[in-house]
Amino acid sequence: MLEPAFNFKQINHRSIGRLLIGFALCFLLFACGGNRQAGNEDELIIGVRADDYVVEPLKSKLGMYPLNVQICEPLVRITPDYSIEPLLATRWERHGNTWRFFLRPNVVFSNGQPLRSEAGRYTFARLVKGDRAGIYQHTYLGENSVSVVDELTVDITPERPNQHLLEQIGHANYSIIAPDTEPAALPVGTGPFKLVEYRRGEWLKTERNELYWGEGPGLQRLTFRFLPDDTTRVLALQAGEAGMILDVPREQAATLRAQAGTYVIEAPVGRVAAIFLNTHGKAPYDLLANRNLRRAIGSSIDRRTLIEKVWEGNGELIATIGPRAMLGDYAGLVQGFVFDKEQATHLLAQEGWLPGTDGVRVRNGRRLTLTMIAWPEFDTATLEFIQAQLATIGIELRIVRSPDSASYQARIEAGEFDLDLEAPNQNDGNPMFLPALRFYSKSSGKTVRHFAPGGRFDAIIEAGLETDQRNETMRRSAEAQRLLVDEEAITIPLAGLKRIYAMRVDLRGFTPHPSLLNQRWHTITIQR
Amino acid sequence: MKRYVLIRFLSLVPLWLGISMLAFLLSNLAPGDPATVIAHRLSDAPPSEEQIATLRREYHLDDTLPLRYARWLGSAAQGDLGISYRTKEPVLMELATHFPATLQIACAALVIALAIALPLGVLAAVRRGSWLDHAARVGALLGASLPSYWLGYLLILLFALALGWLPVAGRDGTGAMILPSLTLGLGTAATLARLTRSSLLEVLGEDFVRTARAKGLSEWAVLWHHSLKAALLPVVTVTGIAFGHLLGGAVIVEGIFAWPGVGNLLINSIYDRDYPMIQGFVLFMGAVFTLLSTAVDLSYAWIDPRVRYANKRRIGR
Amino acid sequence: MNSRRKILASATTHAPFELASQGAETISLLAVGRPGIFVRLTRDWAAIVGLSIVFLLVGLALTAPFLAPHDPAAQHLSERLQSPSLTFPLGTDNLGRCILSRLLFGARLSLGFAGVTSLLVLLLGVVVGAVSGFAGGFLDAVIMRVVDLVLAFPLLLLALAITGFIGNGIGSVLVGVVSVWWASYARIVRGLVLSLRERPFIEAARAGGVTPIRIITRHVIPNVIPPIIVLATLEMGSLLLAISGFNFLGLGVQPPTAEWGAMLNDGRPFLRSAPQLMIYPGLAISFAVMGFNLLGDGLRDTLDPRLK
Repeated sequence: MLEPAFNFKQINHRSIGRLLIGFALCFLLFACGGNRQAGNEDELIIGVRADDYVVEPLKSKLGMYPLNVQICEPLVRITPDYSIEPLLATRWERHGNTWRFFLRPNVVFSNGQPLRSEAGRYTFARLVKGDRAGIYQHTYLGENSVSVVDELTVDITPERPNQHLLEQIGHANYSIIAPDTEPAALPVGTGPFKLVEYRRGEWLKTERNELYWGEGPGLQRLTFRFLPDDTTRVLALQAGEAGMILDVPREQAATLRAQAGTYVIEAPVGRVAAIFLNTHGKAPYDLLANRNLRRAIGSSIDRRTLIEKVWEGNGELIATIGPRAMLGDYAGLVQGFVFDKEQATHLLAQEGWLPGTDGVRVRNGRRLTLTMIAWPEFDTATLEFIQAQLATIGIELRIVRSPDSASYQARIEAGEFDLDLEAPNQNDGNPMFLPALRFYSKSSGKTVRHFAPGGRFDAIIEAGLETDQRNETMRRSAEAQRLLVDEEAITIPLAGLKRIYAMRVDLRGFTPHPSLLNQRWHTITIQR
Repeated sequence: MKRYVLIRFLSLVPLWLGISMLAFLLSNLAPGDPATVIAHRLSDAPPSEEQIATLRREYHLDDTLPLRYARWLGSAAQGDLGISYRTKEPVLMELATHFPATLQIACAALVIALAIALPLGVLAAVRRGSWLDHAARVGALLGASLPSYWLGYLLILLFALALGWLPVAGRDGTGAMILPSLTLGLGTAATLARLTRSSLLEVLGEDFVRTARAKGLSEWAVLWHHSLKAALLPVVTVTGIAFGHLLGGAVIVEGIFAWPGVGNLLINSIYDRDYPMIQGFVLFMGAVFTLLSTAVDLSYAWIDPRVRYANKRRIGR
Repeated sequence: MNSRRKILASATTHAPFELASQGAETISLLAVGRPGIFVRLTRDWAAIVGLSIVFLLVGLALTAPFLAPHDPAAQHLSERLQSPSLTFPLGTDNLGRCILSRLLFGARLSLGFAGVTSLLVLLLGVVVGAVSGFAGGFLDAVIMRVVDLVLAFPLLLLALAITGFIGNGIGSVLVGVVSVWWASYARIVRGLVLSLRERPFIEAARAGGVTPIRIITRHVIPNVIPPIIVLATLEMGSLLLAISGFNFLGLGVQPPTAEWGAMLNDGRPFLRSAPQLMIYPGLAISFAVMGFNLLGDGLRDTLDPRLK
C-alpha cells in the first residue's frame, strides 16, 4: 500500500500559525472583559458558602437566616459572651408571663417608615402564620401573643410559660421587618445595610442604609458572594476577588497566615464538636447502653493531639457541649474527659471485653464493633483519627459517611448508629437550648429518644426552664452537662470549633462573634 | 426527512414515561425525605415529629407512590412540571433560568475542543509515526486521564492567581466563562483528537483514496475533498454525544467555579430530595438527548449522501 | 461501506462519550479469526508500553501486602506531611500515613473496582446487545428504548438511591455504575452485531438451520469479543476517574480505606500547602489510564488490517 507522501509543510505551519493567532486574539478579547470588583474603595466582597436562603413567602428570612447581613435587626442583641443587650428595644420589663418591650425612638426602616409597635406585631404575626410546621414551637408564640400597648411599646405573651423568651428573640429569625413587607420579595429592616440585589446562588448585594439609627457602616457597599467550594473560596481571596472569606478550611489557614497581604482571625468557640452516643439503640446498636464502655471511649481519644496535629491548632480543648461563655461562672462544673488509655482498657476488661486475635476485643463471641456517623461537613481526617484512637484500645470503628445531610438525617432518626459526631449550633442566648433540645426526654426533637437519660436529668432541665434568673439557668445547664459528660458519658465533647476568617490586610474593625448569625459586618472599615 | 424527525420525537414519549417513573421511584428510595431537609433548613432547632408531619402533609408526601406519580404525570402532561420544594419556584422556570448558563459553557467547551482536536488529529494522522503524532497521542492521553477538578484548580491557579487574567469563579463578566469552558473542553478535546486521528487514518487507507491519488489529484484535494469529509462522520456523531453530556451539566466543574448552571441545580435538587425538580430535570435531559441525536443523525445524512438512503430504508422497514 | 456508516450512526448515538468514540474506531475490527495476534502486538511500541504498565500495576496491586513498607492505615502523627525519606519513600500524608503504602493498597481497590466493573458491564452489555442486534424488529426496538432510558439518567441519583438499600460504600457505587454503563456497551455491541449479521458465514449458518441461540453464542459473540476487549481496556481509564468523581461527591469507599480516587479527594484541601497529596494519586491514576489506553490502542492497531 502506498504510504502517503504528503508535503504539507507550508500549509501545516500556516494553519498552526493562524490557529495560534486566533487563540491569542480570543484570550485578549476576553481578558479585557474580565470583571474584577475587589478594588473599589468602600466596597467589600465577602466570599461565603452555599446559598441556603429560603425564598418562600411567609417563611423567608432572606438576609437574616442562615446568613445575617444586618438588613434587619431583632429587638435585642446577643453579645460575643452570650449576654443580652438592647438593640431595637431599649429596655424591657416582665410581668408574669408577659414581656414588655420599649422600642427605641426615632428609628426608621430603610424605606422611610418609622419603627412603631405595629412592626413588632406584624413581624411576629407573620412568623407564626408562616410557621405552620411549628418551627418556633419552643418559644410558645401564638397568633395573638404580640399586642400593641402604645406606639413604642409591645407586649409579648407566649401561650405557655416561657422564662427564656428574652434570650430567644435575640436570634436573627426574630428580626423586625417593616409592616406589610415580605422578605421573600424584599427584606426591609432597620439595619445598617439595605438590600440592593439578590441573585440566588450567586450573590447578595447590600449598600449602606443612610437612614440607620446608629453609627453607620464604614463600607458603602457590601457583597456576599456564594462560593460553595472551599478551595475556590480561598483562591478567590488570594486572587483579590474577595476581600474577605468565611469558613476557611483549617488545612488552608496556615497557608493564608503565612501569606503576606492576608491575615487570619479566629472567632471564639461557637460550637463544640462532640460525639453523641446512642444509649437506647436496638441491636446491633445496643452496646453503648453500657456506661463503662461509653466512659472507655471517652478516655481513649487524645483530644490534644487531635487539635494540635490533625487540626493544626485550630480548635480548643473544652469539656462542655456548648461555648463556655454560655455557662458563665459555672463552666467549671463540667470536668470533661482525660486521655487515659490504661483507664479505658481497664474499663473494657472490667466489662468482659477481652482482646481478640486480630486486636479487636471480643465478649461471648461478639466483636466490639461500633458504627459512627457524622455530619457531612466533617473531614475524613478527623473521622479516621477517632477510628485509629479507638483501635488502640481494641474497638473496631466502622465509619459510615453520608453523602448529604438528607441521608445523615435519615440514619440518625432511624437510630442506625452507635456514635454520632456533630457540632450543634448555638445561635441564641438561652443556656438551656442545647441540653434541653437534644437530651430532654419531653423535648419534641426527633432524635432525642436515642440520647435522653431521663430521670434526674429531666428534673434538672425542668428546674432550669422554670427559673427566670439567668444565673440559675446557667447553673442548671452546667449541672445538666455534668451529668451528660462526666457522670453518664452520653456525650463526649471533642473540641471547640472556631470559625476561621481570612481577609486582606487593609481591613479593620472586624470583631468575630462566636455565632455567625450574630456577626456584625458594619464595623468593618478599609484602611487607606 | 420530516417523517423521520417526527418519529424520533414521538419516541420521546415512552422515553419520558420510563425515565420519569424511574426517577420518581429512585428519588423516593434514596434515604431521607424532603420534609426533614426543609425543616432543618428553617431553623437551628432539630425538628419534631409534628413539624415534619405537618410539612409532609403540606407536600402531600404521605399519599401513596402511585397516586403521587399519577398526579405529577397529569399536570406534567399539561405542561406544568410543578413547584420546586426547595425554592418554591416553578420547575420549568428554574430549568429555563439555569440552562443558558450551562449552554454557554457547553458551547464554548465544544468550540475549544474542536478547535484543538481537529487540527491536532488531522496533523497526527497526516504525519503518522512522527514525533508530532506521538506527542499528540501522549497529550491526548494526559488530557483524558486528568480528573476534571484537578484540571479546574490548576487552571485557576495559572490564569487567575499567577497571571491574573481571568476571574476565579462565578458568572459575572465576559471572561468568567473561559476557565470552566477550558476545563470542560480540554478533556473533550483529548478524546476527539484521538478519534479524528484514527478515523482519518482509516479513511486514508481506503480504496477510494488510493484511486483518487492514482488519478493524479493533488494531495490537498485528496485530503480535503475526499478524506476529511468521510472521516468526520464519526467525529460528528461523537461530538453530538459529547455536547449532550456537556449540556447535562458538568456537575463537578460547575461546583468548583460556582457556575449557576443545570448541573449545580441537579446536585442541589438531589441532595435536597427536591422530587419535582429531579423529575423535571430528568425529562429535560431525555429531551436534550433525543434532540441532539436526531440532529446528529440528520447532519450525518447531510454529510454522507449514502446514509440518506440507508435511513430511508430503515424507516421503510 | 454503506452499511458501516449506517451502523456507526445508530451504534454511537446516546452512548457515553468516551465509549462511543472508541466504538466508532473499532467498527473496522470485525476481522474474523486473525492468528498471531500477540506476535503482531509486540511489534507496536504503544502496545508494549501499555502492556508493561498494566502488568506492572497489576503486579504491584497483587503484591502490595509484601511490598508496602507500612500498614496503610497506620497514623504517625508526629511525622505528618513529610517529604520522601528512607522510612517513607513517598512521604506521609496529613495523618502521617505512608503514601506509598496507601498507593499500593489503593491499587488493589482502584484496579479491582475498574476490573470488576468492566467485566460486569461487558457481560451485561454483550449479552443484551447481541440479543438485541441479532433479534432485530420489535425486541430490538424495545431494548434500545430501555438503553436510551438508562443512558439519559443521572448517575448520581441512581447511586444515591442505591446507598439507601445497601449503604454507602464502594459496593453501591459499583452497582450504580454497572447499572448505567452496560447500556453503552449494549449499543456498541448491537451495532457490531448488525453488521455481522450480513456476513456470509452467518447467513450460511442460518440457512443451515442452526438455532439463533447457537448462532449467537458460537458465532456472533466470539467475533464481537476482540473489539469489545479493546473498548474495555480503553474504558478502564474513565472508570477510574468515575470513582474519583464519586468520592468528590461523597459516595464510595469509607475511611480509612486507601483508594486512589479517595486519596485524590482527601488531598484537595492541601492543594497549595501540600500538593503532593493530590499529585501522587493523580499520577497513579494517569499512569494507569495511560497504560490501559496504550494497550487498547495497541490492540486496535494490531487487529485492524487497514492500518498496516
